[in-house]
Amino acid sequence: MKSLNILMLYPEIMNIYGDMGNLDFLSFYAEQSGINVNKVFYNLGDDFSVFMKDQNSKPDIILGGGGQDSSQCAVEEDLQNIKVHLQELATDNVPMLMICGLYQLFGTRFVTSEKKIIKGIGLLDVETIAGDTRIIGNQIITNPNPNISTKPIYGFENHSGKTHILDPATKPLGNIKFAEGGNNGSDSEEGAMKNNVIGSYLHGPIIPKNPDIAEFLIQTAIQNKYNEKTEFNINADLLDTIKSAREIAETLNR
Amino acid sequence: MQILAEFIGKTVVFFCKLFHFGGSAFPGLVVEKICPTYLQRVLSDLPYGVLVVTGTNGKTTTSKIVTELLQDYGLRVFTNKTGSNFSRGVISEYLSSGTKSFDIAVLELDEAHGIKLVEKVAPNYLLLLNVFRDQLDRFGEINYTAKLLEKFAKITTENGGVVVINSNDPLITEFSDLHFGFSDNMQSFFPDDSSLHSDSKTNSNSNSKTQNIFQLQNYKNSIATFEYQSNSYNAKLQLLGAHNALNSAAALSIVSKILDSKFDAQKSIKTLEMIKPAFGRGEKITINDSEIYLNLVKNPAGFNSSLKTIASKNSKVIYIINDDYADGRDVSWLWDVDYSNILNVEAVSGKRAYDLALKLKSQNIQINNIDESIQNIVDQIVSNKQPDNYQIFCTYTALLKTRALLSKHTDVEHIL
Repeated sequence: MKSLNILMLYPEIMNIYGDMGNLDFLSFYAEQSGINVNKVFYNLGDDFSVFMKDQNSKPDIILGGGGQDSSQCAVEEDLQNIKVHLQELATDNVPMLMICGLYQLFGTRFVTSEKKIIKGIGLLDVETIAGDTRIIGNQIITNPNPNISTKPIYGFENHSGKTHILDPATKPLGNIKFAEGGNNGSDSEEGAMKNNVIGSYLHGPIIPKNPDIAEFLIQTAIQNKYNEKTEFNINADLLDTIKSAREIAETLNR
Repeated sequence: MQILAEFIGKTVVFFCKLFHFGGSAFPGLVVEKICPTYLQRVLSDLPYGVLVVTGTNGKTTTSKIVTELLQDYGLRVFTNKTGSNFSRGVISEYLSSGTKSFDIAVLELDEAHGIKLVEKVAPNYLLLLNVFRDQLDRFGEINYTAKLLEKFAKITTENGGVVVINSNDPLITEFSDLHFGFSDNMQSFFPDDSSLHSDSKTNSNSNSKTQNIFQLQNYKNSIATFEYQSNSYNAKLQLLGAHNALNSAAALSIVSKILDSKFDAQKSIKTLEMIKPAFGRGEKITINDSEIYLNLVKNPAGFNSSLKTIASKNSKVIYIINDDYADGRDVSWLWDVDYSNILNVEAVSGKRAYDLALKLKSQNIQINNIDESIQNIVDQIVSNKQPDNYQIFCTYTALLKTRALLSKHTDVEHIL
């Protein structure tokens, strides 16, 4: 039986908007298709090198969520300590999905509303500067990068940071429906991706209503690990529920 | 202007009642537009002044307990008992109360909007219950909510008022020296957000440093044990759940401060035992031979403790989730609730039924019916002739809608 290690970064302090739901649903989705999932957690002060020991312990997918400004300050130093491992995994094409707070910290830096600079790890060429007002509301990425999703991506965003892409090697995930939101409220773009590292402000959590993202992460991980394509085998009842949830999401106001 | 506003407001109340129009804040909105200082004028000359109850969870139930405890001493209490906690809601209540004379106002106020009212009318008493992650689409971050509550405390203290605070909530406990709380052995009854995801501060227990006025010592089989001035008191509560036992400790603590030497602990414990749940907070409605309980849910902490202490295996459980402003536009918090002790759900309804259904299905929880229409769900309950026990967990606007639909089939207490 194929098996994937899915690692969640800092679940204790970076999981403010139901981000753990991404891990739960992704695991459920993989298990439905006959893939065994080993959920792994990395918290502040843990030893990341134990995951890097051998092929069996290496994370195959990495997820991360959002946190308050204070939590982001708290993980800053720790994240720098494990940067080398995350870089190595990114170079090995390990798919990663970072939402909100960790999206910001996977960029080069985050300047908070108190003008404090939190250093990021630069796996995405983006920088974030806190704005005066929070960007809050439902959001739709109408034309996402087709490698990630062939259909619109639905979610909810809530952030003060305004994020800009600094280098064309990093691409946005796509254009948005509600232009007052997205990365910065001005360029109508949302999210960022470089190789298989994805960042986005959209929670919801994002995976359950956007199964294309789940399939991208699983497919990429299985390809990396087993050099095989993945046959997804999701039961019709669940697919129906996802479809209904997406139809509602399409109608939601900002 | 005040009198004109009051007249128009009462007229609006009259027509709202006549047509069973459920929007409880509308008459107040009209009056506030005509006379912006209306509420200050009304509240400024009450003999005992104004008590404000705020915090994330338990405001409505605690306000109800305080009100009934005070009434037992003969005080005439004005209160906003619909749970509508914006200033226009308070005005609507006042108009529909008949605007008679009162001794004290007990106001439950929203953490964010309440501050505007408190800035105009400084409370004589303030009861701060807790701060949990709630409606982050409005507040942004939980630390911001805590800062708002600090402002409540500051305004009250600066104007010579009395502030009583939960000693077990590290985010707010230091805003005053007067506390209520629970003893160390009760910790497991009160899971905080940090057991789901932790915020920056841990749930350190500050009881060792402070003396609680009323301290919850134990809760078992709906009997709560409180300690007050080194004496122990038992109360068999109709308000179910450990969280309501703690709300009771909060209410008793502030009432003892308001009444001072007139306060009689034994007498108030007896009154406490008689108090029934507030509007939609475990409120019971009977239709045919079925008992239907309405439980408002707003955030993971409240939803978890409701599920933990209320739902039994014999209940038919229904979840109704809307996403209007008053519910919270962002429903992601539903993913931080542990639904695992209810493995078979009768129905999931409301605008965001499918969002919750995805969470439940991913936990292999059986759902018998998913239907966005609350009307359909209520029809289904009403047409059931079996004597059943329904536990309905619903967000705020879903609660109003469900209650209104059920009230067509049976008498429920009229709330504006």
